[in-house]
Amino acid sequence: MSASSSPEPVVTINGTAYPYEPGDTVIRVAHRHGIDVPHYCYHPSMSPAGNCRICMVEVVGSPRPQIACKMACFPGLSVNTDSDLAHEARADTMQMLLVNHPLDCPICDQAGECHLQDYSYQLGSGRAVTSTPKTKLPKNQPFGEQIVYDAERCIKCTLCVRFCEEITDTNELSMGQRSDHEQVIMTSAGEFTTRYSMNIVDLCPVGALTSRDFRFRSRLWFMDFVPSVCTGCARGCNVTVGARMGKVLRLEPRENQDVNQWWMCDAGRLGYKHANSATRLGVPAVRDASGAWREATFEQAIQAASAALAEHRHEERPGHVLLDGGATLEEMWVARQLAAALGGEARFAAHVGDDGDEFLVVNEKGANARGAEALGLARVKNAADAGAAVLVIERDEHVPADLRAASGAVVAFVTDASHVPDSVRVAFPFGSFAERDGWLVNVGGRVQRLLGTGEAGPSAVQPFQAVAQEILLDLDAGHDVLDDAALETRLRAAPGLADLVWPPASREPAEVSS
Amino acid sequence: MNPRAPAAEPKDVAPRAPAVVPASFPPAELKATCEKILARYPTKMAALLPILHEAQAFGGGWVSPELEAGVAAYLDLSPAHVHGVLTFYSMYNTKPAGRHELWVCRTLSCWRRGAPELRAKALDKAGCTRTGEVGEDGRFLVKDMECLGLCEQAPAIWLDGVAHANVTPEGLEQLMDGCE
Repeated sequence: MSASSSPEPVVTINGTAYPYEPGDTVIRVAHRHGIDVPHYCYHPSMSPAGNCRICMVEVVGSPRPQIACKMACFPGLSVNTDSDLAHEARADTMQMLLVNHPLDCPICDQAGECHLQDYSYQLGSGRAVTSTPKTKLPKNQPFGEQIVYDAERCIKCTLCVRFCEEITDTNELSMGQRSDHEQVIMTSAGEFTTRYSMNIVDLCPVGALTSRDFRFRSRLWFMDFVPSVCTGCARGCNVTVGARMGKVLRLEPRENQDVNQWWMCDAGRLGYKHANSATRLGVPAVRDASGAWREATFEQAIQAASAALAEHRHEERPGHVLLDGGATLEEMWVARQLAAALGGEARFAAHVGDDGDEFLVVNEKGANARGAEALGLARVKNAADAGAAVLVIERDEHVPADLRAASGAVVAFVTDASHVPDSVRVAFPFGSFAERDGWLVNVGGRVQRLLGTGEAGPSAVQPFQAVAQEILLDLDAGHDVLDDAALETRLRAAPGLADLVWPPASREPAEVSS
Repeated sequence: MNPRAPAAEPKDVAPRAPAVVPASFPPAELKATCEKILARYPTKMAALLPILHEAQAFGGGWVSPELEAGVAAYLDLSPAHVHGVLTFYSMYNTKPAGRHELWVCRTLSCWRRGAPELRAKALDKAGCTRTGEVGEDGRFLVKDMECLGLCEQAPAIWLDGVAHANVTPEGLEQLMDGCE
């Protein structure tokens, strides 16, 4: 049989034939075709450990079930993932896994996204089958500063150990002790300092590894989750933002093989604090004649801003709009129009760090610095160039205090009230990354969607695009007001942006994968 | 805005342990032995167990964190891996040992034939409350051990590398009295 005429090799899963590639395991083929095979210790990025045994499937013609994560495909192989034998094998495995598990789901942070919980509902009998007391193991063990380990909940899948060995190559963790006392350990005086350490919290299939930042903050089912991107640096790692009652509570990486695979750095994950600041500006504010701030409606503030900007234009001071490097393309586009009406140009400022590495973190911290450059926005690096009429600021580090003070701006869109410089007469609330909607260009030229959730930030914050265009109408009656869809159409065709990697046209959010 | 959100950061952060400075390993007197051991195995990792035995003997019956880090560096392994191996096997000690080491078999035959009495006697004579500890006089480290392979002559104990079978509590007392 010649190679060219031989049919593509197939494996049969639940009676249907699926093609496979050399080296494929059963679980990979099954997952690729949307067939659910339960798993704890398997992760597509790492070598299979085969120790949790929950992925057992029936191999037709064999009396014993096999683990799908290590079962290599071969021609003629036929497996059933849903047969009585497979279910029985899994139920027995669950019984073993739960022998020493505390079953403290009511106080466990993983509850709601825990596969151990899911499968014990599906497969468990609801009654303990052993009468021996459960093993007592260490709880509340710190692994570095961000992670807390509970050895009793741990099912010893070794994903965290393998992450430190195979992904970060830092080898901080290992398995210690044995038998029912087996647990994840660090060295007797070890430190856990990998800047990607918190990925093991996501990896952990149970609640054994929890994030010190998120634990006990909220039950998952009360939270709203949206697929978005991290704005901590220009990498633009895909994330799921979890928020509740005006607060961002958690950022988690979302798989994107072209950007961040499955991971994100700890700094990005914890870089949401400014969105929950106690000094968030929630409503527009206008200075009265005595210089004191008073709250205003958007209509009043827009009127006041138009008047202030008209006066500013009349005085022939710099009519620039200085944007935060994390502003979206839509915001930059409208800022450019606003600046043109004021006789200036849109500019941006963004922090540049020195902590880039070869994995995810890049030095450029402006999440949309690449987009700003593509739109032709000049970069403001020092206070001498900071002169502007309008400021748009989300993060302090991008437009620091010296730039703000030197700008002489009269109108500011700020996330935090403490970022309003003295010269400003009208301040509008500006949404954080978790509340705004728009496109960002990452360091690789990939255009990615920033998506806001209504659960984060102060309520009723109007987007910059809308407010700025209202002001533009006041300044220039002929301005053609564009909604987000019309803006997107123009952005996709804009010089400098049209050549970038855009996702398919859609104002609909992508599905969140769990 | 969120009345249920806790105001203060949790305070259960453990103080960071001081960094361990690896002991330079192997020390001069172990160099030849270690090299001989290394030559027996295809990889450095494979030599870990015998090298740890050497390190333990050198360290006075236990492997200190410094020695542990030294062995890890010598064999190009992560200190966490070496620590995992040390805690897996009960023959290694990660805390200072006594002048004598006494193991009491805790597997079935010995247990049925009087090991619990031997264990109680040993703990009593050593002056400690539980196995794995050293008595105050620093004389004995008493440990529970899995099957010593002397089931047909149960109960069995092991004292400083010598196995004793058919041991009675009185016999054990004599044995222990004979130790400095």
